[in-house]
Amino acid sequence: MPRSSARTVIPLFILAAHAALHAMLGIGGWLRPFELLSLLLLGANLVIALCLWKGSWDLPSGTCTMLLIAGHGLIGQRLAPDSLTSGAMLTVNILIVYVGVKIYEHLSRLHFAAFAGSYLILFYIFLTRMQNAEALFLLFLMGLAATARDFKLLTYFWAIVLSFTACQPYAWETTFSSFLILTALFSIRDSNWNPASVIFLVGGMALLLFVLLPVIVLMAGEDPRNVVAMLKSESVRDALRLTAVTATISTVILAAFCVPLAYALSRLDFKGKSLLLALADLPIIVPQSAAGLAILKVFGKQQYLGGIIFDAFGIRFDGSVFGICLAQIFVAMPFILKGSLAAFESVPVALEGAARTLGASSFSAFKRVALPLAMKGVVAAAILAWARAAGEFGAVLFVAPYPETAPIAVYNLFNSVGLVQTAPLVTTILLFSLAMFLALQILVKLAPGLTRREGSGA
Amino acid sequence: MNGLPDRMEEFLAGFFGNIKFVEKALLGLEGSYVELLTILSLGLLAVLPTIVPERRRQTWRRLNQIFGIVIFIYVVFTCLGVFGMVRNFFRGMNEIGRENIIALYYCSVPVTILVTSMLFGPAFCGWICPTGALQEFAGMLTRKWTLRRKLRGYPFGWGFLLTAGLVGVVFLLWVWRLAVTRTFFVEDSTIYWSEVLVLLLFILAFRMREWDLKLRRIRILSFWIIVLGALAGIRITSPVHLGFAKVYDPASLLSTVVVVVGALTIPNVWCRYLCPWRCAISWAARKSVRFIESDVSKCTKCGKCFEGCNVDAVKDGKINTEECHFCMKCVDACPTNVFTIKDDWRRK
Repeated sequence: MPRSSARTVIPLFILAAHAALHAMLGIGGWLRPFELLSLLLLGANLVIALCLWKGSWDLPSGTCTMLLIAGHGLIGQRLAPDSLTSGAMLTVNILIVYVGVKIYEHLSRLHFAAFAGSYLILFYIFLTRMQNAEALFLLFLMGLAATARDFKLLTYFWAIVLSFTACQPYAWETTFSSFLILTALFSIRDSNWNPASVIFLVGGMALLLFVLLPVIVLMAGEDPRNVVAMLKSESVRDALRLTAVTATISTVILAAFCVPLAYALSRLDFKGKSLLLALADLPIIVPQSAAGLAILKVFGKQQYLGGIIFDAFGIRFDGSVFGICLAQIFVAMPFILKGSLAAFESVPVALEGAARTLGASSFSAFKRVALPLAMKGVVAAAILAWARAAGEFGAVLFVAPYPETAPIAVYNLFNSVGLVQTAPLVTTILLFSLAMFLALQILVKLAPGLTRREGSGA
Repeated sequence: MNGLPDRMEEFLAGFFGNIKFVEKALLGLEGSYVELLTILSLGLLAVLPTIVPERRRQTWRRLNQIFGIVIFIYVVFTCLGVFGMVRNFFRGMNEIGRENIIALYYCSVPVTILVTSMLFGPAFCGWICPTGALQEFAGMLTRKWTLRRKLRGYPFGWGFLLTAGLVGVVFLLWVWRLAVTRTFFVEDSTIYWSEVLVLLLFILAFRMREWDLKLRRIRILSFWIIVLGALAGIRITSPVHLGFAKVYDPASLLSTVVVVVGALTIPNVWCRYLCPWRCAISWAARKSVRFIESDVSKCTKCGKCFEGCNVDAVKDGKINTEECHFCMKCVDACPTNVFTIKDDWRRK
């Protein structure tokens, strides 16, 4: 490698200045001249000077490193409480300077501005605003060194920094949410990119995450051991089992009646159809407590209809599993009806017509053409109805407060022991619901019959 | 016989003793204890690969590895092995804003490793990591035999299967012995990992050629097991950490032995198939500024790089970044200079 004069002169000058100042300050009593670290740093500068002279280290970063080392060697002891601290700070400083020089050399001015600005803001946050945060400053400076060369990485880095400083009690939750948003933003395909929809996306996701924050906090903040202890308790298991069973029964009953009804509504036109559709939304509009009272007013054991049913079949609704199912059916009905209706309406009538001309009966046209094609929507609606039924609280509370379903167990526990002790139960129930929900979704994806029929139908 | 584990523990304790270089984990910022020397020494170790002379680079690398082991034994306070690092990282992040110095204390090792990997390539794996170094040094003993096996494309051999079987039997007997003599906790799940390793040896005896790359995905699984374990607060002991953390439990020793035995038959078997940290480092290496560029047009397909590579990350001048340990053996071995070490600050 050809040797330029700057390669000889600059290192030599810095080395000489360092050595001279070291000797002078040592004699003057400013530093202890034979302290290990100072001597090591002097030696390190010698090595770097040799490297620069041989050409195995590039000049700008080498010069900066030498200056830094000289500075630390001469005044580092006065700044840091001991030589180890000084050494660690020196390492991080060298890293930062190295990265800074490289960014200045290889990347745009904007990159360098972002890097320098980030450094200053970190300095402000950790050394000026926060007390006793020098350690964090070192830690995050290393992060900055690794991420400053790329805007995307730098954005992630700042998401972490801000989550762990500004959003402190919810640091992990904010990190998680902001990473979700950022990843979504960065992975938008270029062709569809336009400012309006990107802003809508960010705003919408921010609100969504704000709304979901309690759920995330509850799931992330709970000690898993408490959850395991909860799952071991007999009453909690009973409640969860009861919830799952009743919700499944309700969904099956709803599917048996509402899916055909939805099909009929999508195919037939008659007077009062719009009224019927509006009435189907009634369970959403009516407050759940009112719904529970209404059910009790009709199906309660002392009431007329409830009494007849009790006398005839021995079934009572208030305070029994049947009551729970009834309440769940009431509140979940609109979900499955509307969902299946939309699914059936997306199936062209002409396909069934074709099946009929080929000799299928109307029942088999429903079974073999309309239902398989609408299956995806119908199943999605059924899952939604299941989730709604499993989560129903108000109506069930009035109709059948005992046996306890999971939401009612939460309410009772909260009333008796308060928020702190109820949190593990709530986490357990959340995890349980989430697990069931995911399991159902996966089951739908895995079920071979559905996809095959759907595939051949389409 | 009953006292064997106890004697083993005593022996280990005597060997490593109370041996950290500084008494409390370090005196640092404002007189408190901070793991500053870690940053210092790991930073130095990470820079060394780049400034070491090219001529005898592999010798320097071995020296660096030995130095790495020494540093992990005598200096680093918070490293509880590969698993403990993930756990400590999580713990340290949780301390941010509460006990900042403890945050630095716990995060220093993982952050240093990740940051240097993102800037200087995954050199931690090839130049510093004590677990990797231990395996490499063990693998040197059987280097000729493993190389022959590798060049013949990992054929199935009864000898290999019998050896694996023997190791398995001895291992299980040892586990049984330990289980009889002392109580095992969840912490001792190293034994689980060791079992996985033994099983792997069996699988590899049959199917190494076909399954090698697929089996490496176990690393991702192990990464998530460790991360979820950290979230759940489960402590999982890792191999080799008995030397660093004053945890002289037989479980760690046991799995260390299994890792070493595994490394005798397949070089760096732990790094290839099980190391959870390798996932994080692979991610960092993909973004790393420094990387090894290969000019395949110069390649004469002499196979020297393939011969040298401990983790089978390179073949015919093509490097698999996911696996590369940055040991630079291929760079040194190549007769036609296919490989060059490059810095690209615009790398995506």
